[in-house]
Amino acid sequence: MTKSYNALLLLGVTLLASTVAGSALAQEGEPIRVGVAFPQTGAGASQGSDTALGIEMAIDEINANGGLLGRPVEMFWRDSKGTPADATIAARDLITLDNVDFFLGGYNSGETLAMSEVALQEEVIYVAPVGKTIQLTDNYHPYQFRIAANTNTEGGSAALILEELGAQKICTILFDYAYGHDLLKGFEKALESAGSDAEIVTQVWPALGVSDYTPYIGEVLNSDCDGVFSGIWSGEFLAFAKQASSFGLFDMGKHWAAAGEVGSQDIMEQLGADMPNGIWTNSYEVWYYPDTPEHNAYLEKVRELTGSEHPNPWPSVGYIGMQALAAGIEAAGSTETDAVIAAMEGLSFDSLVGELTIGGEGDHQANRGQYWGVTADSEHPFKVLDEVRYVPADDIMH
Amino acid sequence: MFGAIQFLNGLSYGLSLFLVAAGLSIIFGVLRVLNFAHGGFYMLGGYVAYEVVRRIGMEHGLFWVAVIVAGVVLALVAAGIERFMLRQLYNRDQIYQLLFTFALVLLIGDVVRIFWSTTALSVSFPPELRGAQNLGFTIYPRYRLFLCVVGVVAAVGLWLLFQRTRWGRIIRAATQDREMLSSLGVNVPMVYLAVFAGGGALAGISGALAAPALALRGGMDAEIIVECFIVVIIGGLGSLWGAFIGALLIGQLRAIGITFVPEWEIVLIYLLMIVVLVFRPWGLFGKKQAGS
Repeated sequence: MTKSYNALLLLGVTLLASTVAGSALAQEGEPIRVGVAFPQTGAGASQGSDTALGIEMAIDEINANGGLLGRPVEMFWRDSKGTPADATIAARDLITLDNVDFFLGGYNSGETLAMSEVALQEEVIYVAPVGKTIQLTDNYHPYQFRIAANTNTEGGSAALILEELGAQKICTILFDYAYGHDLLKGFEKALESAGSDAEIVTQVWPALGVSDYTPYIGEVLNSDCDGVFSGIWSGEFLAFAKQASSFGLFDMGKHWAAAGEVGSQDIMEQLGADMPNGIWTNSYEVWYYPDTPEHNAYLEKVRELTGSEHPNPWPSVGYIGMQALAAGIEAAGSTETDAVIAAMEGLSFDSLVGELTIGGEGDHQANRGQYWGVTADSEHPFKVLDEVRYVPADDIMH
Repeated sequence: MFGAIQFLNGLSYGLSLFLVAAGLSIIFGVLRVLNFAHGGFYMLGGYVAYEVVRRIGMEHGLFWVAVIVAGVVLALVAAGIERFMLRQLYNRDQIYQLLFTFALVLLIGDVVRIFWSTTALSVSFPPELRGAQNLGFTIYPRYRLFLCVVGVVAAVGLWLLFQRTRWGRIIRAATQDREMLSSLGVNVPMVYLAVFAGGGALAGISGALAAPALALRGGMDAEIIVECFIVVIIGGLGSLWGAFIGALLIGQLRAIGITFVPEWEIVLIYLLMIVVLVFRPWGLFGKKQAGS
C-alpha cells in the first residue's frame, strides 16, 4: 500500500515538474534551447561543421557572460546532409525531439527553403545565416529571419563594381538554376537603378555540376564583352578557373566580378597559384580585414578552436547568425516566440561586420552587405584579396 | 576561330572520354562484366594523383610520376578485386556481377570520402603544359591538346595491341570463345585478370590526367560512368572502334549543342542514344548477339 502510494506521489511530482518545465514561463537557470541544422555529412560537410562551430563559439561567449536573460544557452546540432528532404527531417527533429526554442540552419538554397517551411508549420523562429535565395523573402512568413546577404545584394554588388570599373558590354556566366537566375535579377536591377548604360551582350548558362566548362568559355571568348559577371561558386570555381586560365580568358583585360564567394580562404588555398589575379570577388569574411578589436578577438578564438592560422569564413557566418538571434532574445526580454518576432523586426544590433538592421514585418531581411576585393599575389602560398571593402546592402537588397 | 575552338573543345572532351570508356568496353568484351565501378577507378586515379602531387610537388616532370603511380595503384586494386572477389561470381548469374560492381561504386566512394573528405580538391596543370598554344588558325590550351594526343596514341596503341600482337589475339579469342581458348592451353583466368587490371589502370590513368583540368570531388564517379555508358551504348559494347567513334560523337554533339541550342544540349546526346537503341540496339560497331 505504501509502495503504490509512493509510486503515485512520484508520478504526480514528475508530471507536475514536466508541466512546469514545459511552460513558457521558465524558471531562472532553465536553458534556452537553440537548434542548429547544417550538413555534418555529404558535400557541404566541412562548411556545415565550420558554420556550426561559429554558432557554438557565439553561444560559449554568451554563456561566459552570464547567459541570455540570465539563462544558459544550450545548442543542439542535427545533420541536414545538404538535401531539402534531410534538412526538413533535421529541423523537425530539432523541434519535436530536442524541443528547441529557436533554430538556425540551411547551407544551400534548397535546405533553406525547406527549413523555412518547417518553421512556418511548427511556428518556431528560424534564422537563416547562409541561404541567399531571394525566394526566401519572396515567400515571406513571420517565423523566418534571414541574416545572410541575399542574391539581390550579391548580384547588385557585382553590378556596382563592374559599373565603377567602366564595363560597357557584359558577359554573364551563371549556373542554370534558381541561384544563377536570381543573381541575374539582382544584377540587372542594380544596373538599372544606377542608371547605367552598360548592356549584357552574352549570356552563358552552364548546368550546375558540369566539370567541363570549355564550350561556355569558348562562347565568352567569341563575345566582344569588356566585362564579365560570373556566379560560379566555391568548389565549382576550381575547375572553371583552371580551364578559363588555360584559354587565357583572364589575360584579355576584361573586367571581372565573380560572385559566389571565391575569395574565400578555403578556395584561395585550394587554387593556390591557379587563382587568376585581377578579378573582383567576394567572401563572407577574410581574416586579414578589417583590423578592428572585435574582429581580432573573434580571430583569436577561431584560430584556437580550428588550429588554423588562416581560418576560412564559415565560422563567422554562424557567429553572426547567433549574434542576431541573441540580440533579438535580449531585446524581447523573453523567449516567447511572438515577443521575439516583434523585437527582431526593425532591430539594430552589433555584429562582427558592424551594425546590422533587420527588416520589419513583411521582410525580416538583415541589411547584410558583402566584402569584395580584387585577387592579388601575397607572401603566402595562396592569393589574397586586395582593396577589400564592405559593399553595403541598403540600396540593392530589395 | 570560334568554330575551331568549339571543334577542339568537342575533340578534346571526346578523346578524354574515350580513354575512360575504352577500358569499360574492353572489360565487357572479354569478361562480359559491365563494370559500374569503372567511374570509381577513374575517380580514385584522380585522387591518387592528387596525393602524390601533394607529397612530391609539381616541379618539371613530377606530375608524370603521379600519373604512373595512379595507373599502377589502380592496376593492383583492380587485379586484387578480380582475383579475390569478382572471380567467385563468374559461374553465377550475371546479376550478381552487376550487383557486385555496383557495391564497389559505393565502397570506393566511401574510401575516397574517408581519406580525402568531401571538400573539392584541385591539382595544378604541370608546368610543361601550362597556357595556350598558338596553332596559327587559333590558340588552344596546351594541356587539352596534349590530352587529344594521348587519346589518339591510346586508340592507335590499343588497336595495334589487339590486331598485331599475340596478346591481342588471345584477348580477341577470349571475347569470342573462352572454352575453345582454354582447351587450346591458354590460361584464361590469367587473361581475365590482365584485362580487368589493364582496364582499371587505364581508368586510373585517365582520372589522373583529367585531374588538372577539373576539380576532384564526390560524384565525379557517377558523372563519368553515365557518360561512359552512353558511349558504349552508342558505339557498341566490346568494340574499341565503337568506343572511339561514340566518344568523339558525344564530344562534338556537346560542343555543337552548347553553341547552338544550349538548353537542349543534354537532350541531343540522349536523343542519339535513343535513335541508336531503336535502329541498331547493339551499337554502331557492336556485334549482333543471338541470345543476349
